[in-house]
This record gives sequence, C-alpha cells and structure tokens, in this order.
Amino acid sequence: MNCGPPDQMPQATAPSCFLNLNWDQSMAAAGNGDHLDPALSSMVSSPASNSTAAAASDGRGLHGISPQPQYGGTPLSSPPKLNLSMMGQFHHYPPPQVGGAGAAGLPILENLMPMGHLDQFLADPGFAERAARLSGFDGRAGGGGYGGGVPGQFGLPEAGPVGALKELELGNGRDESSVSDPASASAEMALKAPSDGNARKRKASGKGKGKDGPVSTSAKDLAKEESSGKRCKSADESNGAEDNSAKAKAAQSTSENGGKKQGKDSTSKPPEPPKDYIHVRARRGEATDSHSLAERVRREKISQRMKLLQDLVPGCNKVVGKAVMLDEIINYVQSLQRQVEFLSMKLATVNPQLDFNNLPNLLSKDVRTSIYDHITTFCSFLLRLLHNSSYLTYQLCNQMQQSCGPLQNSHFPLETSGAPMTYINQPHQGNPLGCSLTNGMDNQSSMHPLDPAFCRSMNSQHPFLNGVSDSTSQVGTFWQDDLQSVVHMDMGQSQEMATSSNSYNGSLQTVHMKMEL
Amino acid sequence: MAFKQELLKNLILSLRARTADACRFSAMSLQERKRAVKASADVAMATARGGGARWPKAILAAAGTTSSNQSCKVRSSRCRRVVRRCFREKRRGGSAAALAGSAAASSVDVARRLVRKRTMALRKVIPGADAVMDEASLLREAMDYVVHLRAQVDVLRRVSEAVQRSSLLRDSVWPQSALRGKEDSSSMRQ
Repeated sequence: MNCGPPDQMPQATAPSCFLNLNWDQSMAAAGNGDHLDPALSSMVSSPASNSTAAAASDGRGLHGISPQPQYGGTPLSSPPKLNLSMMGQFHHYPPPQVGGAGAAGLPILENLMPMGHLDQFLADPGFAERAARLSGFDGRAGGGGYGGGVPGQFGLPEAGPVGALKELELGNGRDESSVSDPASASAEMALKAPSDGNARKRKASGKGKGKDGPVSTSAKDLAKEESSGKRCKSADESNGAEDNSAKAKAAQSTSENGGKKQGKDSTSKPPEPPKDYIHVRARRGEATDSHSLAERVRREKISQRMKLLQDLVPGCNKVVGKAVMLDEIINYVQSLQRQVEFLSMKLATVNPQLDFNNLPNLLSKDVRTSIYDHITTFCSFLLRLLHNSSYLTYQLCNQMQQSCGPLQNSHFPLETSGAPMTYINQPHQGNPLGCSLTNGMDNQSSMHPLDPAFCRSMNSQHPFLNGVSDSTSQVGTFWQDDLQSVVHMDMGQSQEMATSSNSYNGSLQTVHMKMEL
Repeated sequence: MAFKQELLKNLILSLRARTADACRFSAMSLQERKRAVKASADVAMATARGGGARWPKAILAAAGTTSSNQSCKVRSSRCRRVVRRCFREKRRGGSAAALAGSAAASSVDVARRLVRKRTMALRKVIPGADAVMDEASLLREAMDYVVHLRAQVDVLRRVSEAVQRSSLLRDSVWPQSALRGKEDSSSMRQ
C-alpha cells in the first residue's frame, strides 16, 4: 500500500519510528496482559473520559484528546511537547481495568479508532497505518501476555455471554462456526476482546482482558516474542501480504490452550517464504486448518472494522448484521457527498464571482468562535507566507505565537509583534490586514496588495503543496499549541468539532514532526 | 482541527487558482461554478489528507486526468445507480430468501450475497476503492473517507455561511459607506 514493502513497514516513516520504539519497549516489557483491550475499551468510551483517563494515568495522554494542559504550552516548549504528544499519541490509554502503564505504542492506534478518535488517527497517514496495525490486532499484547498461554487468562466468565452476544451481532451474515459453540464463543470472546472495538460492552461486562486478539501479524522486529505465538504487525503490510501469506502462513499458528493443543503444531509448511506472517492462535474446538485460521483472521479483522464504522456512522448502534450496516454506511457516505454538492452549490450561489480573496476577513468578522478566528488569522497569514520567504515567516510565526496568547477577536498578532521581518518592511501589507481583521468591515483593500503576488506565486507552482508545505508545516507546528488551547477553551462547541479538532491537531502535529525531522 | 485548517487553506488556494482568470469565471453558469467549487473542495480535501489512504489519490487522479465536471457528474450518477442497485438487491434478496424456504444454508447464502452486493456498492461510492482491496481495507478506507468527508462538509458549511452573512452585511452597509465616501471626498476637495 502506501507504506512500501512490508518488511520495511515498521521503520517506514518517522512517526512510525517513534511508534516502533514504543512498540519494542512495550514488547520487551510485555509483562502486562492488559495492553490493547483496556486500551480499546477506554478508547471507545467517551472522549472525555478517555482523555481524563489518559491524562490522569500518564503524563502524556493521548495527543488529540488530551485536555488542555497539554497544549497550553508556549512555543518554546512545543517541540518537546510535540515529541511527547507524538509519543503519547501512540501511548495507549492506561486502562482503568489494567493497572499497568504497559506500553503503549500500538494500542493507542486502536484507541484512536472509534468515534472522534478515529478522526485523529485517520488524519495522519502514518496513523492510518498504525491503526490498521492495531486493528490487525496486534500482538504486542499477544507477545507479552501470553507467556502462560492459559486460556483462563482470557476467559472472562461474565464476558462470555456478552462476547457471544457480540459475536452473534456481527455473525449474522458470517460463518456460524465461530459462534455455534458456546464454549468456543466465550474463548473467542476473550480472544476477540482486543479486537473488539466496541468497548462499551466490554466495560459493561466488567473488563476486557485477553487482549490478545486472535489475529496478530508478526513484525520482523518482534520476532523475539515468538514464544507466546502472537505477533503484532501492520495490517497494512498484512493487507498486501496477508492474502498471500495468511493462507499459507496460518500454518504458523500456535495454540497455547493450556498446552492441550501444543501437539498440534500446524507448522507443516516449513519452507515458508521469508515474508511477514500472521500468527494465529487456534482456539479450542476450532479447526486448525490453515485455511480456516486465515479465514477467521480475516473475519475478525472485518468485524472489528465494522464495529468501528458503526461508531462512526450515526444511528448505527442498534443495527445488527453486516448487510444492513453496510447499507447504512453507503447511505451515510452518499448523504455526505450530497451535502458537499449542496454546499458547493450554495457557495457558488452566494459568491457569484467566486471571489474568495476576502474570505479570511469574512470568516473573522462573521464567526463567533475563536477557533474560526484563528483559522482566519491562519489563512491570512498563510496568504502572506506564500509570497514571503519561508524562513522569515517562520521566524515571524514564532513571534506571533508568543504574542498570540490571548485569543481575542480584534487582536491581530502582526500588529503587536515586534517582528523585525518582512512585515515591518512591508507595513502596507501588515496594517491593512490587521485593520481588516479588527474591523471586519473593509473587505476590499486589505487583501488586494497580496493578490497579484499571491496569484503569481500560485500560478507559478502547484497550488497545493509545493510552495506551502515547508513554511506552513513550520507554521502549523507552532500554531498547534495555540489552536489547541483555543479548541479546548471552546469545548462548548459541537462535540464532534472538538474531538475532531483535537484529533486532527494531534495527527497534524505528528506529521509536522515527521517533516521537521 | 488541523485537517480542517489544511482543508480550508487548500480550498482557498484552489479557488483562487481557479478564479485567477476573472473574466472566465464571471461568465460561468451556476452549475459550472458549483462544479468548480466542489472540485476544488474535493481536491483540497484530498491534498489535505495526505498519502495515508487510497481515496485522495483517486480524487486527485480523477481531477487531473478528466475534467472535473465529468468526475462530479459521474460520481453523482454513480451514487444514484448504487442506491437504486441496493434497493433492487434488497427486494430481490428478500424474495429469494422467501422462495428458498427456511433452510439455514440458503439464508446464509442470501445474506452473503447481500453483503457482497453492498460491498460492491460501497466500493463504488468511495473514490479509489474499486479495484484492489479486500474487505478489511475497504472498510478502513471507508472509515477514513467518512471522517474526512465530515470535516469537508463542516468547513464548506462554515465558509458558505460566512460568505453569505458577509455578503448580506455588505449589501446593507455598502450604500452607507458609499455615501460616507462621497461626503469625505467632497469635504476633502473643499
């Protein structure tokens, strides 16, 4: 997929290198059996509780969802905070059930999956991969926690029926073999617990142990966890390689059910190509056929993702069944696309000239939220950035950041920042913009000096990323803290906006970290 | 939030790029303008998303190769077709289940068929998901796309509201400011 060859997956990107650090450490620690499942359960619960749990238990907390204190920092402290937040992003929610801080990297990704958390991880390309990894059900947990491989370790008596229920929920259109056997259902529930994104039920059931999901794909650097038989790997890699390797490689599955199945070493395919493989634990009473194991892996991955989608699409909580769920998803996507069309029609109507030069001013004048005010200043600032030197604006951003502590509608940082940079050299640009932002009334003159230069710069290069990425990435990192504090101050806005803003903020921050690295 | 900022920035940039040629755009019809806005919004969303999923590439490829008008039309017509197909399948699926009797196996088959049809429909709705992917990655793409689509809708809504309100305000204010300007100029001349 995007990440290149599977075997390079763990080290693919800079963010993922952080992830891998966490991952390896966590794998090394591996002492906790908690890992993913509690992470997942905490993840799926409300963002507020998640953030408090995360922040409370660990200084880092989840990047996007963590409460304000994380992001109220000054720009000077932003880089370390960014580091922390990025690490924290991978840090799993310290689950209330599990005492351990356990390591973090991957489960967090799954933490990011449901609801607003999903936004967070999705916004970052690296995250998507990591989340996919997690959703593949990562054996970090599996590796560490299974030293004993006792089935009772996963089995939660109270979770059994709930698990069976959940299994049944999604199992309508699926192969019933996994659901028919109540005993295996409970075991399956236990094993599936980490893969189950719907942590509400798990919490209702009381816990979520056995985070060791039935699906775990191995990563090369986690090969040391071999003993427990569960590996963690990027589902992205596995997506590409899984279809090839799953069938062939389910042979690698080991079952550690109290040692009863240890004799059934299904590694009957020794000459396995040296690609990443999936370690699947064959459950008791289940066929250990490589095909059925691979099939089970695939099914569970799909069900897990369906659950996440269920959280994402509104009104799908009561829906049972894959077909209906897919129907709802399709309808939702179509409705969103229709909304986009309608809104673009509205924009075209309202603004016949498609004259968006004054858009930042309009936004600042109009919108009451300070968040949008910052977007406005951000945009107008960006417009300047585009035809100023990136380095100078970078420094200016720094100054702006420092002076932009109080978020007031009328205060434009350029006017007060002592930036000895281009803005002082070009006061005619700075002042009109500032005035326009303060007044919001004179829309005409402010942006015009910038427009020709802007258009020239626009036309000279690809309008989207080339000229903007470097400077804006730097700007972005410095704006993140401020904006994050704005976001948090304005939590009274829609819940979705808050969560998505947090999530996007966090992910963008990590992306910027990557770029700056 | 950062994604929304990125999206807004890209939206503004793309709209500016499109409206750089002012005379051409004033001559566009409403439909064309709408399509331009929508295309630029989609491209903005795709570029703001980055490289973490398949759908941005599909959007950008579609915007680059074919004309934006065609892609939008095609997509909307595809959506309609998909919805119709889903309904048809549902009806057909229901009748088939009734005909097949109460055998458990056949109901499972019917369910599987329904799921398969809907998976195909989902592939058509989500850009770039047509070809390769297995169901798990398709669902992940769907999740990713839904999230970013929501953000795009939000940004567009805010922008349109802001523009609308400012245009209303401008209309109400302009006469007065024009008058004031005239007075000032006249007083200055004196």
